[in-house]
Amino acid sequence: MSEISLSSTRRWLAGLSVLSAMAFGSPAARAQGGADAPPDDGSSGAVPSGASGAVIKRPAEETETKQPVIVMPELVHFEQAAYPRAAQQAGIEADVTLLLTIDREGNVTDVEVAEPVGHGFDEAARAAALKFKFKPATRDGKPSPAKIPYRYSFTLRTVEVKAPPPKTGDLGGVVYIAGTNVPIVGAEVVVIGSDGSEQRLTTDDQGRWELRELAPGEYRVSAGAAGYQKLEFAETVAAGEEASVTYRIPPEVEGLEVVVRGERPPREVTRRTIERREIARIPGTGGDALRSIQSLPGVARPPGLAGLLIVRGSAPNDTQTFIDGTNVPLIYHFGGLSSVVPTELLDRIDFYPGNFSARYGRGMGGIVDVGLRSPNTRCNGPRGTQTDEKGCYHGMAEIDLIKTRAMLEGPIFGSDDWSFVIGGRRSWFDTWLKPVLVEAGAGVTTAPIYWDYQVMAENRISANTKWRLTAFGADDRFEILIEDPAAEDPAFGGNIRFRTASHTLQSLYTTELNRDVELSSMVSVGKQRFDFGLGSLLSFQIDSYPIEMRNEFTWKLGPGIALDTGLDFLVGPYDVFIRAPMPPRAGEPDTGPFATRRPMEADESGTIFRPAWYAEAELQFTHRLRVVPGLRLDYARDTSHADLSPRINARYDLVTATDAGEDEAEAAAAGTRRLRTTLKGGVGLYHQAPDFQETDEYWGTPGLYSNRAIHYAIGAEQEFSRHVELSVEGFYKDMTRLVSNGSEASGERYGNDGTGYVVGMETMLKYKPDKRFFGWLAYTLSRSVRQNDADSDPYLFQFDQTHNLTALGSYRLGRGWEFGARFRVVSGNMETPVIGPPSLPALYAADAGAYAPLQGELNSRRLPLFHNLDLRIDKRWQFDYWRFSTYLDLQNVYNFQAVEGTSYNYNYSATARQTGLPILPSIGVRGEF
Amino acid sequence: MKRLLLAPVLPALFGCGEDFTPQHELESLRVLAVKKDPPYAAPGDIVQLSMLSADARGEDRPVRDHNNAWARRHIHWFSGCYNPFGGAYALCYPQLIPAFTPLLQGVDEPPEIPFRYGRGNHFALQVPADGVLQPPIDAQQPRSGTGYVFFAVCDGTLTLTPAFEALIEGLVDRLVDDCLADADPTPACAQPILDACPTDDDCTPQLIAACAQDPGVQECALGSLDDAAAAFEGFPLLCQDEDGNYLGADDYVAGYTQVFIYDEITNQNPAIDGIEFKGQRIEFDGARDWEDCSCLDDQCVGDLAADPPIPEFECRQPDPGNSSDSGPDIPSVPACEDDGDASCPEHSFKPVISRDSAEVDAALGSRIREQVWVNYYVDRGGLTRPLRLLNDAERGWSDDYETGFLAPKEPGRVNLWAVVHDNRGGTSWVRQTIEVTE
Repeated sequence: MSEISLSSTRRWLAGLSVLSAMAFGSPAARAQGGADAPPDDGSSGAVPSGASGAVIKRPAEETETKQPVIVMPELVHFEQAAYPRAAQQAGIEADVTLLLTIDREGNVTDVEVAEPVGHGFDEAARAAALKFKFKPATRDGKPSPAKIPYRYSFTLRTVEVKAPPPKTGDLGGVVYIAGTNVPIVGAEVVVIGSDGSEQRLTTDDQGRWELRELAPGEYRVSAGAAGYQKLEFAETVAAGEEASVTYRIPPEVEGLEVVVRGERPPREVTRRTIERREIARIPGTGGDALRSIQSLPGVARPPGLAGLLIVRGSAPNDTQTFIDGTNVPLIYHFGGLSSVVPTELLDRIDFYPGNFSARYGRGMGGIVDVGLRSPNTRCNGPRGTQTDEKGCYHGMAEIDLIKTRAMLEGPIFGSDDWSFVIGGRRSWFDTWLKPVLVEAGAGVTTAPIYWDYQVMAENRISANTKWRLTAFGADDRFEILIEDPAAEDPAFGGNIRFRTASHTLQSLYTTELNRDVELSSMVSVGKQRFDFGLGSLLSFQIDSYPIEMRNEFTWKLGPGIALDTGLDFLVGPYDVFIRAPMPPRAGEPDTGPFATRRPMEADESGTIFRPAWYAEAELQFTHRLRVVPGLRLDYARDTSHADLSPRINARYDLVTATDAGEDEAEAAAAGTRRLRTTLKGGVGLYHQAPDFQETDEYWGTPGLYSNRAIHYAIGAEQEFSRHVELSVEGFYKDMTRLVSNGSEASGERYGNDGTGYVVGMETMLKYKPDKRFFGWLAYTLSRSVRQNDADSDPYLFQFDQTHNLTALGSYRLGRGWEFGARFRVVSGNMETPVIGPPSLPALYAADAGAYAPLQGELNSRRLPLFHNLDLRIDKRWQFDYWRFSTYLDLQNVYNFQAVEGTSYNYNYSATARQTGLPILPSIGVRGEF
Repeated sequence: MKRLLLAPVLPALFGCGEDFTPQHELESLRVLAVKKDPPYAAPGDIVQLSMLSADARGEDRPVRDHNNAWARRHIHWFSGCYNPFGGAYALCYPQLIPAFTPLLQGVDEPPEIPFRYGRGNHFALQVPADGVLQPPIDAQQPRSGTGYVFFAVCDGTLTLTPAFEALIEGLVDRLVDDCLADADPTPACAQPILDACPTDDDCTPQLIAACAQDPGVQECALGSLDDAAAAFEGFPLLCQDEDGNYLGADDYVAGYTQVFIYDEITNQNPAIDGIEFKGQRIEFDGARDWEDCSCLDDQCVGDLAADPPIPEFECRQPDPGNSSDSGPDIPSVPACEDDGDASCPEHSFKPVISRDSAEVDAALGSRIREQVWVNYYVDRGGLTRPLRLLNDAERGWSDDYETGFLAPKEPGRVNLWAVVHDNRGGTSWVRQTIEVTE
């Protein structure tokens, strides 16, 4: 133990020597010093002391007469001064210069304070100096009175308090749920000594535990509880010390937790959280976090293998996806088989189906914002336990029928501040699909391949500042040489190619400028390619180089008031080559096979420039009410239009979980937390600039306005227990100024005359994960309508799904086994039928040698109800320092022949239903350390 | 074995579908091709059109291969639509109303209207000399236009749908009441008819047809019908048997072809130089498509007065002694017990096509050539690879474009057709008869 105490530097003899030399110039005198320094036993906690550095002036007359032999007085008894208490408490130090008069006996007969310093130092020094005892000065060998300066120094120092060495120590602490301050009551703590002795105890209602009078030494401490991982720690008990430790134990999940938020409060309307344990175990998703979004309310089922995000009745391209703020064109690989970001690297998924923050723009549908986590450098203990020790490397490898992937992470060169992640994935089904396609008559140049990668270096500059450089990308491609043209459209013979590629280098800097201001700055540079060709007459290639910048400041202006404001820039040079006939527009009569139409070409370059500014206030008016108004201003140079988008969201707790000022975690621990009832709502304006081809002077109509939508939402959340929560939300989306087909009268290819609406209700009854089970029941009722212009008839949107019900759950059986199931019932998608008798269903396009269907009313027929059941079984083996797991994911267990569309014979006079995937098993294995 | 192993994999990847009768197997009335001469026209040009149609249902059917007597009754042509908005053929119907009027109820013998309405295997249109070329979207490209010609092959009686007939009646009312009667002066085209029968519906077809070329009348009469006609779903013509039943796709084929119009750019139909069967060149007289314009019973086009006069097609009687049509020169193959199944022996067949047929697409700045492909058809037995690519616009020519004929189970004659297309409206065809022996 140590404490602050007084000390004095006992350099007075040295001071005298200097004084002597200066005063008398005697080499002998200069050689004096260092003798008989008073001992410093250090036993006192407040020991004032002596002096040094005295300054004296040599008497001039003595130097001008004879040269007597003078020996200066020599201190033989030192008296410690009392350190002034006030000065001590104030931490003040001082040097007091005294002038001592010493008689022939060596006694100090008088003390003058030459340079007063106050604070009680002068008096204390004088009092002590009067008790000094000197060996008298001599002059030619005879005792002589003397007058010398003396500097008494008062300094503070830390001194060790030497207490009798104790023989035992104490060990105790508290156990929390990882990532929270919520104590775990009844957790078991086992303390094992180096001699094998074992002591067991459980935490109290505060999560605390304590063991006293342990023998000094090393101990192994394990802490665990039902439903939580068992972690092991190494602790050292020192004699006489009380070691207090805090353990945070994660629930029984693997790796990090990933959170999917339906809408992130308080800046949005509602909140839904899915832990990674849920995501990784949802049947039918292959353990892919981003695919799990498709099981949430408000998200429509995409047809077949289409990897589309259809949110609240919006078109897929109305929903934007981001990785740490950088827009990525596609979030799923081929057919939605997997997402472009591995689940293991996710920190969070923010999913906003509507009424999203002013932070986001350029979209009318939903937002998916994926956050990447920091590299993991924590070390594992034996048998899957985790420790607090850092500096370790981790890795994983996985293979299934579709793909293989690997990831490695850890510190860079052992640094505590620098860490890295490198990961990649590649599909390998090309190895077996290529022979299949060849057998089917295709000359395969490139069988379907996809891959992605992530490379991250992170520097934790300080506790509040982090800089991260990340490179990530994905590539999907295939190229098939179809030697024979397609009967439906002979122009489609030849090479069929498809490629999407996206590569991004991103810098992300986050810091707290001070306690009230946070800064987040993201800059990314990317290269994106989309290349699509059906034969030689239909070709579309676009290369773009988007530069995105997003800087956001968050100011805490006062209690309950925060302001978020930011700049959101998109600059995108692009090169486009198109060779194709003029494409038909949505709802337009069929223009016949491409083979009957003259191709046109366009080879263009340009730069998209779309800056935006936004601001949003977070106003906590009361403990119950939170209101978030926001404003966003977008400009699109390609359309030369600016859009102002005001938004406001609010939440009001009818029943709060805690009282004002009360910590929710503490309340939960104390059992005083109430079941929350919340009302919520919001309204906001959203704009989305027209697509590239819609404003292109060649293919579209320049000068179009942005599509516009007003989102309305109102709902409620009710907790029924610690694990069960119900969320109900009604929404209405009013769409105007939609880009629509131009009229013949206007002569324009496109106009802004389209309108539409989406109305619906989302319900989610969720059982949050406990030790063994999690699950939810999600139901969405919706209707999505479009209208080309005021004079035309409204029609249902292609992906309108009136009913969408998802029930899923997963149960831990024990011994590493887990079983899950997902059941879905969804209304069929809409399709446009060919016209029925007595009319012909199709016309013969003689120039193509193929038929052109005569389409009936747009999206007027709904496909049959879809329902299916997916199952998943996991088995995990835990070894000392690594883990092996395998899973069987069985999609469409009862082989339901889901109708995904209608197929026709060559002249459309006969039809058959196109069915989706049959029962489809997927097996994978995985190892990780 | 490999196919068996792959069989469950492919549906898993691409879903399941029904096994339909393939397009190349003729089982009913079919239109196989329409040839335009020339495929690309200049303003004012006359374009001749010929149709290849067939019915595989045997000798009891009235049409099997270009019987022009039958064709004169059952094949109808409609023209007069240029540059519909957005290139949507369905928006042609308002422009085609004059051409449809001969089909109005009460018209027993539809009159042929030069360049607008005709019957038979052949038809001709004259591209308007003015106003048909539209400025290009891209200034680097030439002005162009597109004419649409519709046809209907009906093994019964062709009628207008009631809805479309009502549209035309509205047009007639407007034409008579507003456009003609109140016009000052009355258009010259209408005056003689108005004088003869100013309110008689019997005059309607002639009236509309006669005035259809008058821009002022067109604008007046058709303008108000544009939206209604544009919103019209389906094809406005129906086919009925003698009992009034509507006939379906087995007995009724309707379609369209396009005539691309440029000032200077030209296109030629693919040139067929011969036929190869089982690797052997068959003697080919270069006029093998004489059947395409056989005018056995009548002139190919109507005899209404026209200015300029419609050129007659060069027709000639079939020569039974011609080696390419009958007799010992018809190649023979043995019948196959599996009746045209893929397990039957393949007998290669292809037309011999000149590489020059793949012309440069001048409208795209000489960067690519035409896409050229061949459709094969057969009325008995089967074919392997019935649709082959001859010239890819970028990758170029391929000599590997033959099909494999799979003999039927029953002996007798089988017809094979090869229809060669380019993607700019060029078409040529050839037929070969095969004798299937015991």
